[in-house]
Amino acid sequence: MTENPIVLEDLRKSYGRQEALRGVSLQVRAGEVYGFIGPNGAGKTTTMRILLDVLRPSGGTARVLGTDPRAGGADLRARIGYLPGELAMEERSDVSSWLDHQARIHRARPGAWKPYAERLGLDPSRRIGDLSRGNKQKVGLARAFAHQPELLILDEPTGGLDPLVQQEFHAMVREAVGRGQTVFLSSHVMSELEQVAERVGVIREGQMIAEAPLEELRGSIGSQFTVRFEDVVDLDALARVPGVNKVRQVDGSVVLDHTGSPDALLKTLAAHTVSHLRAEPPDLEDAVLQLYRGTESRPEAADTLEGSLS
Amino acid sequence: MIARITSRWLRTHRAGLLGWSIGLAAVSTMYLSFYTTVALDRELLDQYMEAFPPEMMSAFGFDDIASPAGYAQGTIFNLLGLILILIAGMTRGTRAIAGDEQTGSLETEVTAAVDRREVYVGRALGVTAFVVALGLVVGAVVALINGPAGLDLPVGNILAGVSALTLLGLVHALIALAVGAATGRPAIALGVTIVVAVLGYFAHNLGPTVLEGIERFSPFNWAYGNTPLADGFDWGGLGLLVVLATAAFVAGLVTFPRRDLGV
Repeated sequence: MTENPIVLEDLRKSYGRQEALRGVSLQVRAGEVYGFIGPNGAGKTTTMRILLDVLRPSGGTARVLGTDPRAGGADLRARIGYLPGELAMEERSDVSSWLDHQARIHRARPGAWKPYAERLGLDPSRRIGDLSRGNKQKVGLARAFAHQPELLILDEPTGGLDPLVQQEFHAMVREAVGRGQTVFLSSHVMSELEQVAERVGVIREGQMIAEAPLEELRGSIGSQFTVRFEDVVDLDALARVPGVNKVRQVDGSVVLDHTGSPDALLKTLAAHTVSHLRAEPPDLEDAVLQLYRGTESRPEAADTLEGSLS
Repeated sequence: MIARITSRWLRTHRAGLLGWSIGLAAVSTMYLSFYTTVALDRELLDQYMEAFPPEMMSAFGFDDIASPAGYAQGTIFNLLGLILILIAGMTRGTRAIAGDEQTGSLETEVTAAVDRREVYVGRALGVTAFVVALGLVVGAVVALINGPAGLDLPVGNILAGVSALTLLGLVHALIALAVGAATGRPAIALGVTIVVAVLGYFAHNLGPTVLEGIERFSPFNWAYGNTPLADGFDWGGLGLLVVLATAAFVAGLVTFPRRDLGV
């Protein structure tokens, strides 16, 4: 079996005394969409720029498509499509001439970007400097996809895109994966990754704090039940129901955080007079925010909690 | 790939090249045309100039201002044309790597299938072509106006003067490029180059009155020490300019691939 497209081992990067990366290890598998999530300044951009040999690591190793980014040089970068997090282009150039130049220096034919520009609804005759942020982002995406690289490294790809264009971008990602391309993309907003990523890695202050398939992450968070009772209910008893992690009262309703099968909870509720019941799907945003805060409810921790209670 | 980088860089700077060319051509034409008036009464001009202290005349390179070569040298080659070419070259050199790195537009080129050295060499060639083109503009104006303005400089001397002027501009443009490539800081690149230019300029024009022999270290002295407009090519001086320009180019080539970009 060949090596995974991205293999990071204990990757470190410091600027003077400031540590931007404090030992990042992760693997992105061939043909998957890996979502790299973390707050701004967590080290996502630094990691990606090391993969493109813009920055050199202070420690640890990075291997991209089987080679060290520094040794791989231009030949390696011909196989990568990269969208910088802070995209800056020649303001005075027009879109088509710039993308033609970019196609050439990616060893693709000029015009290879056209299908992508069309799908994203980008007018190639416009001057880059006159484009809105969202339209500039489209130029950057067309640049990254044009040469159909084996590996796409996209730093905050959906920033500034309106929802319809985001849908088109998601379709482009799925098609790329269908062709066997691998996608490594970052975001600071979970909802942007939810629809495309198969696995998610969470980085915070230069360290990986969680990594899991999206489904698993979703499962570890569970649901939130909001219940309005017509009769008196013992909150302590509710808290002891298997799967219930937290109980609190909000505006006369009882709100329960719940993981696992809701069977026991529903049977307990059935003994009461319930006038209103709402179960909300897992909000990954919340889950990830909890991970950011660092303390409670790491995926493994939630699993053990659930196990011990059932 | 180097040719692609160079042609792209020149393409994005064609408007600037046009503007600087027009400015240089206008200034050169204007000043050289005045020589017809100067030539009418050389003695008067000489007397007028004698009113100034010789150190001051020397500082601005106005020695022998009334002769055709002295006039072209004093107004264009050692003053306005020179300053314009120096400014154009230094600012292009600064922006070519460090400036584009600061705005972020360099990142889309170095992350493509291009070696970093290719990016550097390609852009260095672009800057070189830019400065050479400006030198040729000055050369063309001088050659065209040479007869009508009554300068009557030999063509070989014009070529020698233009070579010296162009290489002076190139030396400073490549120093700015190299310092920018080594540091990634446009302010440092421009600052260092301005200091080098100012020290060099005054070491050549005023240096001997302060410290005997100091002018030998000035690129301006290598270019103009042997008055190319009056005496033709000074291959030794031009050689030194080529060596310094090459040294600056190599310094940037060696340091640029070794460092983090855009930090």
